[in-house]
Amino acid sequence: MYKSNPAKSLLPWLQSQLAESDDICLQKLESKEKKAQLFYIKSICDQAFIQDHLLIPFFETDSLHDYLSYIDNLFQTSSYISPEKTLNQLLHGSVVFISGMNIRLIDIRKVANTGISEAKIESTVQGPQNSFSEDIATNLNMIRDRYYQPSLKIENQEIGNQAPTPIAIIYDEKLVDPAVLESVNKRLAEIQGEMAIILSIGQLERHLSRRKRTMFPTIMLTERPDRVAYNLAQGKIAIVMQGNPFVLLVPSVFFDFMASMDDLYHTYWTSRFVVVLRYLGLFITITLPSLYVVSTAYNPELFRVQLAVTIAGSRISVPYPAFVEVFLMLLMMEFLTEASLRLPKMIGSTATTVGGLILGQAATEAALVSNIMVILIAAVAISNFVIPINAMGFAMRGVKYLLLFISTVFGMIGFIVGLVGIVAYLVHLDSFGQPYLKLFMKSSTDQEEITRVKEEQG
Amino acid sequence: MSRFYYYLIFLNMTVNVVAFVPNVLLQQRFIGAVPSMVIALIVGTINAAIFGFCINRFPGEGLPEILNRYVKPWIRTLFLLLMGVTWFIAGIITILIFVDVSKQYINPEMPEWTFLFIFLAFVVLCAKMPSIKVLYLLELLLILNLPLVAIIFLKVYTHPYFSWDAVKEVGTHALTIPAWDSFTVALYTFAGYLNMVIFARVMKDQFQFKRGWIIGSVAFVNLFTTFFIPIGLLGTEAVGHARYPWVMTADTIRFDLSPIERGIGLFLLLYVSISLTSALIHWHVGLELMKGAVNVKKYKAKAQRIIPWMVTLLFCGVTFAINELLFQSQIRSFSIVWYTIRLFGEFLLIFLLGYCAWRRGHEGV
Repeated sequence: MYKSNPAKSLLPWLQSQLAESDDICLQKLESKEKKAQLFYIKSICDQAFIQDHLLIPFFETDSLHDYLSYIDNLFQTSSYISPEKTLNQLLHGSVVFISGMNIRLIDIRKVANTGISEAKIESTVQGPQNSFSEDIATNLNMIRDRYYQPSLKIENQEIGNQAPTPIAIIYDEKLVDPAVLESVNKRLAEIQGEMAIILSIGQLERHLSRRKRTMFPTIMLTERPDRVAYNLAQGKIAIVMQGNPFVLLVPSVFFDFMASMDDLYHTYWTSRFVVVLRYLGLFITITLPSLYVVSTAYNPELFRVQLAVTIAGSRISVPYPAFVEVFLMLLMMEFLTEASLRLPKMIGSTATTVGGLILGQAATEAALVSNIMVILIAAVAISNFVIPINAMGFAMRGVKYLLLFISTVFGMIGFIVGLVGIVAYLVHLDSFGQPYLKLFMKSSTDQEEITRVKEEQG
Repeated sequence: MSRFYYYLIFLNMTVNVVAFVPNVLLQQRFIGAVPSMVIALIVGTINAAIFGFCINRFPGEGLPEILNRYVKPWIRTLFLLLMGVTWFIAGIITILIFVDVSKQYINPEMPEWTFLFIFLAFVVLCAKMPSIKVLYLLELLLILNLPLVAIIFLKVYTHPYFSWDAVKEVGTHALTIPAWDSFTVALYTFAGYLNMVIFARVMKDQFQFKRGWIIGSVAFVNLFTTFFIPIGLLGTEAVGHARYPWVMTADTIRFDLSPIERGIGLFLLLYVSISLTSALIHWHVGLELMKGAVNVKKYKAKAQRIIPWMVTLLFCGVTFAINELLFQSQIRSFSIVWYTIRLFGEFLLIFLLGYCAWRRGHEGV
């Protein structure tokens, strides 16, 4: 119905679609024989741009024809396609320009939060200090600025069928694995169909990974431009989303989550040392609670006599079995971590002081937990934060309860089987067709080898 | 052939250290174990080489696919089913032995079914993984365990009370008539390469004959260690009385400065994961052979998911039943019989594979 004369019916239609909001602006322009209308949403448009580049030229040009050719030469201008598209663009910060039969859309989006802040979550000591902003254009700029490759390709898309949010898929065309790219695109198209609105990249991440319920992250979220550049150079795909200071990296494997960017910036042996520390921390945070239960309740003879006696002596006044003790203290530790995450910074220190004092001193003096238990819990809590990527740290926080449960029920055997089981579970996971955990990652995939061999044999 | 080939062989050699292999060998230490081991060393290496030569002809293919083309369907189905059962029993024996070891040396108060339950749960869940993932897991666990193996090796060879005289004494019985049981169990330590009937599907490279010496020398070190270390540490006479000579041998190790003082702790920790991996590999191969036998790809997707569960749960039931019905000594006799049956199975398999390779050669492909 609009096709016959879109220019006339478009404006009333747009107005009927939009709620009567005060920041919607309809500006009528008239100069000499020229007449035009500008329709836009004030709060997301760049007012200075309208003033300098739309209004002033309007009054300076002689004819409407001259002015239109001026507008068409602005690089932000696009032509009219359909009323729905127009509405969408309007909501994303375009000005609708109507004059007689002519309709133009001019993108003059103004983004308030383009500020680049320091990396807070994945901070490094010697690396670049800045993190991504919340604006997609700024983020794309930051990525281009770190990865100077002619083969870098950026594909703009939108996600969510009700309120589409712009996203960009970035990869190095020469290095990317076509199979992974295809499965990402397929998955994005599926999400596009299913989801009305996607607000955060975390939400996108959850829908991207095919498994509905999973413990370990198979897609990495990062706030560091240098990590994105590094991963692009390895042939991975990055997904940037408007309004999010994080970038998704697919496919991501277990070792990615255990790597810090600092590993690349330190001297060789220093970074090796830190990596070893990290895996040691991982091992300690997962196993220590279970080992305590196993070695006090099931197999005290595993340790040398002196050590076993010290542990038993420390537990002498504790009125309940070891697993209750461990579980209680772990729970308190989790509460403390969780609380200090949510608390405003001003009162954050209260939680640590109170928690530290109560958990550390009072609990042992009241003989509710053993001294060794307190040391152990502290070690578990601290070593958990040695894991550089938070998503993995959180996953491991949960894993240790699983192991604790199996060890409590089945003893030493349960502990080992549980540990091997966790490794098996990690091996069994996939991230977009890439094996999640395997040694000697760098070698080419085995399926490739088989096809190569077959081809050679003819 | 790729590194996984050696992992499979190495795994089977290590896992047999706790199985009945040292027990059988040491019982026959004066009546033919040593010459049997020498023969087994030669026969095993030759077998592995012939097998490698034959399977080289079929890159990227497992036994079911190969038999599909060159053998009559009924022979194929029967053979694959029998082989599948054999492999499942291999896993069952490993599990049952380790249940016994766990009960005796780790948690004597726990009922046996709890050990069985947790071992089987792990093996059943993991056996259904894709073959390549099973290999990744194997590689990871072997490399994680390597330091423990190295420590135990170092400790036993440098043990202050190790008696080389005892070793020499048993060595003087090298010229006796070989014993059949010793031969079968010693040959079984080589059998890791047979898992290739399934894993050849995902292997990259061809078997290389110039690297065959690796198998031979590792096997030699393994057999020597398995047999002579307990003799050197426990004595020529006493060693014959132990059901699990190696667990007792590990108990002679003492770490003066480590928080874990007794070697047996470390040894058992190591062997829980090694035996589990071995049982998992055997069950995985058994399951894949069974799937090949019933041609699982013909069925609907739902049936394809259910069949592996049915097969593995059936064998779980069998494991529980054997554990309930047989005494430990009967399980020992059962496995000795099984070692013999398996030996004929191995030769039959190599023969069939050789036949297929010969047919393929004649087709001129």
